[in-house]
Amino acid sequence: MTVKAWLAPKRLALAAGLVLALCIAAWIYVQTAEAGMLRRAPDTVTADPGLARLAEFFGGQVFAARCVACHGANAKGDRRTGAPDLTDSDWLYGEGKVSDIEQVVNYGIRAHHSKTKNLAAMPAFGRAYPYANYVIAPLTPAQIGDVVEYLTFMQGKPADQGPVGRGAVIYNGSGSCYDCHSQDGKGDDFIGAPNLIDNVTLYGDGSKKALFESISLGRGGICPGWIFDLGPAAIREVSIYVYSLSHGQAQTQQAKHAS
Amino acid sequence: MQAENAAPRKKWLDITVISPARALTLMCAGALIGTVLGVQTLIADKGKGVVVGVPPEDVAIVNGVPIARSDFDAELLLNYKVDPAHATPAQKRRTLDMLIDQELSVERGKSLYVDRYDSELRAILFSAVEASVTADALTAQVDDAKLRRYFEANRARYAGEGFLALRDFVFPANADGEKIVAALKAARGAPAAAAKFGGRDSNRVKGEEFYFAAKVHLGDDLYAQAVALATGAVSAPISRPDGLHVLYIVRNKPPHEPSFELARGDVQRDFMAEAAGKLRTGEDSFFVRRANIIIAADLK
Repeated sequence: MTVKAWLAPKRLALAAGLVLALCIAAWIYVQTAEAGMLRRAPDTVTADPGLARLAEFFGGQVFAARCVACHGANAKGDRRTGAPDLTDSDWLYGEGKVSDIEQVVNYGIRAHHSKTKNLAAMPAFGRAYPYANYVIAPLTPAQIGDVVEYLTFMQGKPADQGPVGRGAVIYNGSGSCYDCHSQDGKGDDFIGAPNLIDNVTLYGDGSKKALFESISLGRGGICPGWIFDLGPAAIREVSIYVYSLSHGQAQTQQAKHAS
Repeated sequence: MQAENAAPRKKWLDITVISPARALTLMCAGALIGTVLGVQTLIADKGKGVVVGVPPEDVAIVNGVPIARSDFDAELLLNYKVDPAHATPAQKRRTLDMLIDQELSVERGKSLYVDRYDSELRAILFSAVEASVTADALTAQVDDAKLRRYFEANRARYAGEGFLALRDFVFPANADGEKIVAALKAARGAPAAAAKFGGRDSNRVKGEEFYFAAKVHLGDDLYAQAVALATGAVSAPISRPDGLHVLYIVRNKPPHEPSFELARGDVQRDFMAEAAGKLRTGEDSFFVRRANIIIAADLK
């Protein structure tokens, strides 16, 4: 059969109709699947491999368009800016369930929304007025140094015992560190206070210098809330994609995005 | 015979020939696609039209207002400490009833103009409007070049605090300042050298302090002298009402030079907050221009 015959109007019309039908079928499939995904409880979607794959596919695209600027193409975060690593099992807010992630994607962190996560921020103890929300007394450089030694000791690393004792008093007393990070230093995932003794660092390289900077200059990263910009399906999909980054299923896909 | 049969088909497919059958078919296809898209729009268009069924992201539509599934899930968790997958039908029903009642109350509240009298509600409304107005600025992807420009324009903001440790010796007002300075330089600020001239450490700065704390403790003029001196330096005599002051600088560590890489997070936060502020101001002035505002004579 010649090319001309293949390109006959009848065949072209048939091919166009077929493509249109396939597009409509795909659209209906995606719409139906997304509706099913939205109707399910967020934490149960990943139990359905088909839905999870679909969500990861579309969620990966949303992630590439909206999240890589801070978290990086490999989702490993950036310790210079405090953007957390989304591929590990350490969660700043919640337990890393899809519903926890979705809450953050929807309303953000310190993102000017009534439902945003904004219960606390790390005060800047080396500033005249360490905290905007209420009055906290600043610490001296020596006191901050003592707290750093105490944290180093809590992490199981060698530390000078004199400063460790003084640092413990400040940590559990005038510095009020225990109030957010808890007395055992394991933090509080309800308010986003990081675990200080698990050797996972949010800012800097975990050195004493980096700890000193965090305590003296304060921290309080932001994550935008996407509720006004993304639809419910896109939000659910990107939440599932982020969930899967730390639960194995999308690591291959994430590696593709990174490359 | 075959040729006769083929002719009408060719005519139907030949776009250079007007064909009523083709026009009718295409019109029907267009109408069908339009209907499908229209129905989809009605389903997806939250509360803005006739709703056909409840969209998957919502659990109910009350007088055209959707109740979001995420709110339903959050209420379940708040009230019963269960996620929707583990909630009982009774828990789900009670939660849904509560949310529907809430929506109806909100509507009733609107018709009663509750927002005019409840200052807390007004504050919440204000924040919510602000959040929706500034959403674009807060979710915008900002490139590094813009952030760097912002950082360069506001470098001082991202510098750390310097440290200062010093001895602030106070001598009688009639003491010989030049001899004191020479003696302190020779003795590297030893308190014993100051004592020979009747001097004592004021102890205003105890140990190492951040610049801001040293400024508060020393006062502006002494701080200005101290911060300009290097470690190990002795200041010129400074006459104050309480006597003659001479400062010995034990350690002066100026603030570190701000680095964009280190400050990037803070720079981004401030940049976005400023962008959101501009957006808010623009929105405010837009509404103020269109509003009918009458101000009391004494406040004009």
